[in-house]
Amino acid sequence: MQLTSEQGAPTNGRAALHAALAAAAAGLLGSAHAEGLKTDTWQVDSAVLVYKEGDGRVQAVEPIISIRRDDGNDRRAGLRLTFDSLTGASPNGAVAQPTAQTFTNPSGRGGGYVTPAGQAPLDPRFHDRRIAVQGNLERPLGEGQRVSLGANASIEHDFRSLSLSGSLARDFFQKNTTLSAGLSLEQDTINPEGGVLVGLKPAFDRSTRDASSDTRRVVDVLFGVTQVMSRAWLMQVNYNLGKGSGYHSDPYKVLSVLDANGLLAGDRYVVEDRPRSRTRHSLNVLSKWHLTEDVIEASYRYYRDDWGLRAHTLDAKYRFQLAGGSYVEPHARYYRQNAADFYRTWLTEGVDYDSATSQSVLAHASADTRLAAFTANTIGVKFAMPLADGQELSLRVESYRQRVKSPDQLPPALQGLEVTPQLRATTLMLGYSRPF
Amino acid sequence: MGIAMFLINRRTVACLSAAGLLGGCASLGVQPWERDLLAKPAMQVVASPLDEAADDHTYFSKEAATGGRSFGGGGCGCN
Repeated sequence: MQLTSEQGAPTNGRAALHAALAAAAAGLLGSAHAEGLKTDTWQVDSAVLVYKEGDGRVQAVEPIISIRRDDGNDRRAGLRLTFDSLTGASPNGAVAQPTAQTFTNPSGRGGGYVTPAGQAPLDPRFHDRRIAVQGNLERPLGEGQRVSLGANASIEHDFRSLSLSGSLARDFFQKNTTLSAGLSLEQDTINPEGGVLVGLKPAFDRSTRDASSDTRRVVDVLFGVTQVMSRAWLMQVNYNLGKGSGYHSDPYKVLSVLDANGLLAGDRYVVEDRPRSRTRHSLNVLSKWHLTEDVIEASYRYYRDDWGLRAHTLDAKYRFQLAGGSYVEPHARYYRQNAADFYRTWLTEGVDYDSATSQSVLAHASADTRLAAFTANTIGVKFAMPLADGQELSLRVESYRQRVKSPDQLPPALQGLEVTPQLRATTLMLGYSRPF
Repeated sequence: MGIAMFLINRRTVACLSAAGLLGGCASLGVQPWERDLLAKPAMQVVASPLDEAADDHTYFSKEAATGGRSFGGGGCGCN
């Protein structure tokens, strides 16, 4: 939206707010050129996301608000606030048993829960609130070059994350080719309820507590090429390398210790343990085509890391442009990953783990289904319609389904039980945007 | 520093690859006055930033793979 209507002194609250924000942004960008402000575009994007998993599992409500400014001269600034509120039940890593299972609090303080016979154990006390703030700033750096800086902070009751990033983009060939390179540094502090537990030692036991908190550092580099292929065709290729060091385990996940028949044995449950480093590679290819009116977007991502994970992601959207500026956008996504090298659905007594000495022969083990082999499908649709004065209202509905691969052979006691919990989730997102 | 050498090596490889790509890229593209379609909001690489941010966060908490398009929007204890 043009700001030309805001010449002169503000005469009402909105104008005053506008002038104050414009002045703040001008100060933030280190520039208050009058000609720059005339082409300023301010945009507020807001959304509420409601995420609900089947079988009484996790529910999340996530309001997001973002303010963006683009002065039309490669000077951009943005600020985004996200609030997350999660409740529900989450798989704790243990497998179903033919009898009920009782779990105590990880810290041994009591307040446990009982999983009925035959069901995959879910910790029903999963609840969290998260506040995340993200800011970014972009400005020109010489002819055809832009530098951007970003900062993120995210806070939960048991987790804090802070990251800083910087990237440089340079245009070539009349802006038909853009190369970019970026670096991000992230520092996380994990402060689990009950403390950090020693991996592959008996769970729900005070003696397994190692420390009250731990840290993780992640360095990411990102290289990108964006290429205009034709008047109606755009492509982007990105390569992302991430290297994490420090605590990577999930402090609330355990593994069952089973005998040859599939029944709980010895120490019954042990704390999971993941490597303290992880190197990730992602290659993403994105293509967008403008048809007569409609727009097609398709992307493919190949992912691999040194935990033995390989994943393929295919994503496609088709934006049907309707009369009056409205559009309907169906979306389909397919995802497939294999299992991490150290993924185990359970540990076998006498083979992987010895309860007499509480020692495992494995260096690492986790039963987290996010590290298991699975495929996932997303089907969704978005409807957006313009309102007066450049406003837009949108509604998006998506259905997500994971199919986790079951072990090839099940011991007798686990036959017919839900050994690997499946996941179904529905997402509803209501969005509202307006220039101001 | 091992990490520094690692990054430098990666950057060298990326620059060489980029230089190779640039030769091919020079013959592609459009004139400045042919950017009408590319300038539309729907043709931006990230057409709906909030959708993308929300999806990234959801998939990050449910799947092992991550990254590839942009830097994440702040870490999360969910993975």
